[in-house]
Amino acid sequence: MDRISIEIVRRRTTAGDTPTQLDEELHWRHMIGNLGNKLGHSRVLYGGFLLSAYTMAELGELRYDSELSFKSLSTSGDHFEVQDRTLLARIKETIQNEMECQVCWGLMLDPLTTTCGHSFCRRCVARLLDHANSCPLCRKQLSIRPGATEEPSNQRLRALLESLIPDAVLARAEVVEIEESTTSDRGRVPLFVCGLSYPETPTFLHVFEPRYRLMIRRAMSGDRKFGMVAYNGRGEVQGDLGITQFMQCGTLLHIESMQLLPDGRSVIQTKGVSRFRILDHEMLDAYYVGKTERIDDIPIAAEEALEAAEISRFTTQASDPGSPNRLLSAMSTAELMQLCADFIERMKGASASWLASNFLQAYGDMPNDPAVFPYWFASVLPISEAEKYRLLPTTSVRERLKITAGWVRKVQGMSLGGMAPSANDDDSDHNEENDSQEMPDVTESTDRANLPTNGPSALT
Amino acid sequence: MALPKRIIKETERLVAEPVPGISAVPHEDNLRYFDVRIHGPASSPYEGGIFKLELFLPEDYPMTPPKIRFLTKIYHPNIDKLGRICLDVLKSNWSPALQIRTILLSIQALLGAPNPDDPLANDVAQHWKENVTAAIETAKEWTHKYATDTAT
Ligand SMILES: [Zn+2]
Ligand SMILES: [Zn+2]
Repeated sequence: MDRISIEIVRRRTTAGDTPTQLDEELHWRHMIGNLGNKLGHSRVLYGGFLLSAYTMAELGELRYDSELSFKSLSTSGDHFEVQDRTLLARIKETIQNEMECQVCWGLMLDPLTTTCGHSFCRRCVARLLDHANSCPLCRKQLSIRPGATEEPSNQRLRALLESLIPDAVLARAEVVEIEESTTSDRGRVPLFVCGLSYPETPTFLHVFEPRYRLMIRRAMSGDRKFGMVAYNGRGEVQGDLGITQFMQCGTLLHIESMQLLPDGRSVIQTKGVSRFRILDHEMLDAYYVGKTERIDDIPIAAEEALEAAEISRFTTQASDPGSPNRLLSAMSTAELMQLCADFIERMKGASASWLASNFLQAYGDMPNDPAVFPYWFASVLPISEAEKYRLLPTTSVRERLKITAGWVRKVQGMSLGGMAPSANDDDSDHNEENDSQEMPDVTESTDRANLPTNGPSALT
Repeated sequence: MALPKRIIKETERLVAEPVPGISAVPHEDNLRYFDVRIHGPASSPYEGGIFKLELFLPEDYPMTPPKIRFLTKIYHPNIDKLGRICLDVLKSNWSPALQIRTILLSIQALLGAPNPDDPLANDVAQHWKENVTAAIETAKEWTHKYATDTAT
């Protein structure tokens, strides 16, 4: 505000002409009950309407809620209008500069004023809180709840901005909207690099890294979706992407519920929506955003044709239903499903630890839908991540069931009461420390996501 | 990825209103990476030297501080052999209200006022405490040797 008075005082020295008659019209509240002084002030001042009104207020003769009527007494014509226009333009420019947020260096968007008296965009305060709890200007403790959603806006600043420079406010809001939009329907998916998730299956996450707090907050204010991708722990080439930090295929998750903790961390429960393949990726405020394509199963007719073609390649001998070593490719899709279902039944009977009630509580009982069953199976069966990942790029139910039936065969081939099985001998070394099931209340956590950031040393 | 508005503005202002004795030029192929040159402050052991640094703005800048280190060898108690700088505003005292300009000014000030009580290079700090005159002499020699035009 100081800048505005400086601007006005500067103008005043050159504005001795253009006399204006100003009459204060009091608000009715001041006209009743105060009979002695029911008239407003009247004055002749100089320098156009704006400047003279400012001068009048400065003289203490203009109440906050009064109306003011103007009459130009200028003999030289309408010079005052030019003066008003240039002054207004200067004030707008001053305000635009003054109202720059010290965090994003843009025009303050939905300004929020802290108890220490400093103002920032609401979204900038939310980001500050992801990292620290102090004012960036004076370092005083901020008493604002994480997310900064409950604090009231600074209505005065907001009104000032919206009445004086509405175009600039609108333009800024649009830029921010574009900068932050990563809605999944446009194929741009924010990526949570953590572990494996599957469609139709719940994933529980503990969110504490600042970048993911921001990502989840943005998802919550949008379509509540984000992509989950596992770490590329072995540094394998991911198709056209080359060697990326994450695996190329992942699962789009929908946030079902979110519990925000007082310190800004949160616990979220999600459910898998669909699978995707990442075609391209970039960074947005320290997290990855992927351009993705959906991975869908082939239509049922094609699925049936695939099944028929595959089975017909085998002789009746190889597909003898009585043989325990029958080739999986020779089995019908229904038989593959049955093989898995029987196995689950037997394991339940044997009280397998991975079918303990707490896991079933989190992931539900075995689904009978053969399309979904493999995802549930992968969620509860303790085998390597690399093995489970094979489910994500599949395009048919049959393909997935052959993978899971392979797991069954592998587990059965191991001695009873043995260690956690691995379906593939080459993959028997576990690449992630949490291959073994954690308790389902916090199955994933972003603490594994702390990789070294790119610094100068990484670039040289 | 489009660069955040703030980084664009900071870069523009660094070019439009340069700080005396400091230059920071972004790489053409990576606008988050700057080549920095700081002139040693007058009446310091670093006077006459031009020190090269590299500065990188991480993805979550300005929420996290810029990463910066000396490329030119320098004999200073708060700068180690790898060029890493011991400066509170680059670590715990960072605030998003600070900027590239203020950080570079702080580094320039650090050259003018070495602080051997908060050392990063312990042997240098030790030298500084035991024999200031000799330490300053070494710093001058290094400046001449590594930070002037004649340096190879
Ligand atoms: Zn802001
Ligand atoms: Zn403050």
